[in-house]
Amino acid sequence: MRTGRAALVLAVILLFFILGGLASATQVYFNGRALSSDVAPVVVDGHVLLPVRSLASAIGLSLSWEPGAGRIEIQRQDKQIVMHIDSREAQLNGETRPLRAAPRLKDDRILVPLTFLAEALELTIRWDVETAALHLSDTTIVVSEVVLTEEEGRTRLDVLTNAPVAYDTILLADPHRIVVDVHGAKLGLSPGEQPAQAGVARCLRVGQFGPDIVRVVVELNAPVGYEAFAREDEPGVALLLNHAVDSLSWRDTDVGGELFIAVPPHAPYEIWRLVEPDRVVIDVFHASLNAKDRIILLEGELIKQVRASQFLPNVVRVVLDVNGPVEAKASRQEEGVCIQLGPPMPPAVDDLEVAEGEPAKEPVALVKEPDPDFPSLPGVKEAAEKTGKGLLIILDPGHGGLDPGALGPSGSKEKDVVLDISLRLRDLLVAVGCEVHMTRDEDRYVEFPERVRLAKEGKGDIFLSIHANAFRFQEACGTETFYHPDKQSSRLLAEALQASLMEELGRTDRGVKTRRDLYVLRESSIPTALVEVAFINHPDEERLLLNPEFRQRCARALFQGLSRYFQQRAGRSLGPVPEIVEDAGDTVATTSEG
Amino acid sequence: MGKVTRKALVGLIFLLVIIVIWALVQRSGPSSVSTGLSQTEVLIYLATRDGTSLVPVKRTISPEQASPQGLIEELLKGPRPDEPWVLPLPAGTRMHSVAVVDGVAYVDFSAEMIEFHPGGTTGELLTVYAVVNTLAQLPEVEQVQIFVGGRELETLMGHLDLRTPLEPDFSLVLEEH
Ligand SMILES: [Zn+2]
Repeated sequence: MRTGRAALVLAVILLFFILGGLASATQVYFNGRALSSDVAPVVVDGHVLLPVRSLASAIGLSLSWEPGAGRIEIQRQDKQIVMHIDSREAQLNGETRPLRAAPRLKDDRILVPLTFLAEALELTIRWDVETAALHLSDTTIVVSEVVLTEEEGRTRLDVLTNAPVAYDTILLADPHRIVVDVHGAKLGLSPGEQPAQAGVARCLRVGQFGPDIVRVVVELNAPVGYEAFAREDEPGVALLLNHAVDSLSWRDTDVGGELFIAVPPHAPYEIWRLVEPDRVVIDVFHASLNAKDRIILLEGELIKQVRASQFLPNVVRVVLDVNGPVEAKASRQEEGVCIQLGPPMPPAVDDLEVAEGEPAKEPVALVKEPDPDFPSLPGVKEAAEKTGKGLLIILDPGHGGLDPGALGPSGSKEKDVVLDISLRLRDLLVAVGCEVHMTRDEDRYVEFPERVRLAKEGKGDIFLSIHANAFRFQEACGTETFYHPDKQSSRLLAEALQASLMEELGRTDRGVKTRRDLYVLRESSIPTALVEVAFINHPDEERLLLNPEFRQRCARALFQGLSRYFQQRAGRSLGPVPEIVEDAGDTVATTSEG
Repeated sequence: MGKVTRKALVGLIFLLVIIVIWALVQRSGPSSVSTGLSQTEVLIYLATRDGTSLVPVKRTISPEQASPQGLIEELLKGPRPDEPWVLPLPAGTRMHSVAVVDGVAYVDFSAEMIEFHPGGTTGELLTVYAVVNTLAQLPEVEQVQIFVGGRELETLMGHLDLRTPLEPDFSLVLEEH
């Protein structure tokens, strides 16, 4: 039975090879969520091995590695595996087990046999030949409980599950809230809202978001940062929320003045001093800056100003710019921290720690660093003919920053996918001499009026908004294009784009549709279209959108659509799609017929 | 003796007839007795499973329920188990309030309307016009504006302009089904 399964796996892998050496491009999914490309399986002498170091954080196992002895120890819940490089024997919870393939060290990567790993950790393996994907999964994950508590004054959210999970978190505004998506999970409690009185949290909502995602929403009184981590003792996800620093206030006293920093009790802080120029610095830890006024201008005898910034994602730094050495004392009060300043002290007498250092950095965003996780873009060869010279194209990748757009079942975000397609399209257009303006070229939130500013003034030849579609049910799929019915040239543009998308992508044709109520179509006064290239919440189309080659095809199709439009409208085409040169490894040269 | 028996028999048959008639009336349900004033027929707008269209679906409710509030409540109940349609609003969405002023219905939904919304132009259009078309069948409603959590919206999911009230859109509606 087991040998039969291994043989099948082997046959599938061989098939991948025959079909064009796809094994290295295999997408690995864990509990329904796509993992980054560095966990792709490696085939050595006919055995499928996984790079366990990259896999560790993704599937929640702890790994210890002793290079000298070549000893690999893997721990996941109650399972402990010990293996040695080049040894065909392993220990599972102390018991010796034979291995069909020995672990290896290759290019600094620790490779362990997939079948044994999955068997030992009780993971299910499923190969999807059609999409060259490897699905690993735990037993069905159930979210059994969601609790808000306080831990040392910080609000803590616990999402309890029956097995380790993959999750995503997003901090959103209006109202301020944190969204936690647990992937590959079903809801094991009744959905709905519960009021919560835990520190900065106002209420809690739980529901099934799509067939395989459980969504937990914590509504906040203030936009605070947080740390998200796998729960310590039992499976699940936990979030520890920062304290909110709500305000700063100053009042003069006989000896100098008093600064009051409003922050909940328990927030740890540290006061210290910088010289040249003289400054008193207070760092509040596990804190997010929520104060509206971040600078208090004083221009007094002792002190010039007070300024506050989000120094690190979890540290609020308050700096007092003083005119010289001055006494400074911090004390905790019921509703915050009070810094008493004054009187001035004679030089060289310091009762505070003196430190040389850089001045406080500019405020940093509360939001976690985005990691779109897409491979670097392909390079574009210089096109010989500058057929697009004199044309200004405005590309508008939908959503961005705090607005993720639609989500795919494995956690992909519309904002990342459409930005990548737009950047690829930009490169193609620039190569033929077009001028391209991007409403955003990075992961940031752009307000509607800013998106359409140029197009509203009539600047530009084309405004093209690029989106990925979604619907509540996974039967929806395909490509559609929208335009404003009052604009004849927009219709021409929309039809040209849709025709090219159908030719190049071959997904279901949902047609060209007129809308008066879509913001960018309504506000723009140049030829404008909004394309929905595919449905990101449809499992097959999500997999396509996660494939860089498909995104390149989207960009090519849009390029051809624009070219078709200029041909019909002005009798000039943009010429053939410029040649693409992948910069890393496998070179895929694609030349177009135009 | 025989006279008494016959009388009892006639009484029994009469009783049986009454029971049968009563049972028939019960079985035929309210629609057959709704020819009078007690029931009224309305439409709620659901969607096809592939998200291509809205579908008007008949519901029979009491005349008092044929109000903006009653219609949204009926819409939020979604499809019946035997219907092939789907509710194009996010799971768990509740209505907070609805008020009609000068032909405009202002309807306020709970936070689920955004937080559990899958996004997409298609998803957003069907959500919004399921609500707008359902409310606009009332003679007093010409336009509809959607609020969430008591706030006015610039957009629901980043495509539609919701700053001003919307008129019903029948281009999204499947005619024959
Ligand atoms: Zn979108």
